[in-house]
Amino acid sequence: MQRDWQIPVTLVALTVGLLLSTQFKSQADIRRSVPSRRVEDLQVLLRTTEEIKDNLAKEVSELRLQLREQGKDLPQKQLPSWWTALKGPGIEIHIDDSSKPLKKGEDPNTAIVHNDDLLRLTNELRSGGSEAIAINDQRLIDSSEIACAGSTILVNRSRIIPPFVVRAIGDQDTLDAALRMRGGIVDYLQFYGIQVTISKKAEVVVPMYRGGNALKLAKPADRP
Amino acid sequence: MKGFLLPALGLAAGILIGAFTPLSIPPGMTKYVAIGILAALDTGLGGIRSGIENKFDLAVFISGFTFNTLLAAGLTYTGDLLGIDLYFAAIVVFGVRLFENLAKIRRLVLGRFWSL
Repeated sequence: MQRDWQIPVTLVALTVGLLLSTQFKSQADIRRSVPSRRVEDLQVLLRTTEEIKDNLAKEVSELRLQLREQGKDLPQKQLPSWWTALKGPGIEIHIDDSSKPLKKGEDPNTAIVHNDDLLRLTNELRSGGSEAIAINDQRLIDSSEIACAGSTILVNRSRIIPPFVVRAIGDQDTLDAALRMRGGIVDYLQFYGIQVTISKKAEVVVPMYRGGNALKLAKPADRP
Repeated sequence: MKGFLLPALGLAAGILIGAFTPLSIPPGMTKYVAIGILAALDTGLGGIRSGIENKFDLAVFISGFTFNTLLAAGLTYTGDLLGIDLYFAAIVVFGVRLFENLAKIRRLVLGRFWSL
């Protein structure tokens, strides 16, 4: 008689336990996920902060220019070259995503310019002896990254988007040849339909570095 | 007191199974599961009570569980369709019965140790 009621009740208790813990887990998941309202708030916050940052960066470069005009600048020798805009003979490269319509089954990823492409390109320019490089007015310095950031590319912590304009000061013919080398970067990009045009210029202007403080930890050392 | 051992083990086993299997409830279904939990709790306590009272009837137990759960789920569903929280009715009823059953069980268990 005792066992008669215990087994059905045990089965029901098992169900209760199962439902309780699954329900608890599901509710915990719901609590953990970020509500979409919060995401929107954060997006607005990010946008306004970026605007403020851009304005401050502009102010910094203006102040640097004023300082230089007043002759209070540090002696040129002690300054890194990115302290000023540079001009000289060089090349200008325009790069944009492929304009060809994608065929069925083609990977859309191959039709867009990636950070790797820009990295290879700038590395090729440096190998070819370029002395200063900028991508979309972002001067490349020691700390410049060329990083993937979703649909944009980060350079000097700033987002840049296609079309990309790379300006490099250096020997025009050498740089041009370095890029157009058979099997080189231009060949590679054009294989995927990416639009690359290279123009040699008698004078290319590479702007000064406009990013944030690049040397926070590094200090000049008194040795060669 | 031994009578509670098996149901308690069952409850613990159920919780463990639920915690360690990748089962999850889709967001729209949580209301129904909550009602299901209440119905099952009510049935379980009712079963324990009738067991202690020596009045346990398997047919009543099973039919009670099925019909109560179905009615509660049906109420919730109709409420969803009409935009009225009809499942509160089921929650209130199950809640009241939970307390009643617990009170009876308490008296019965206490009565075994002390004659009241």
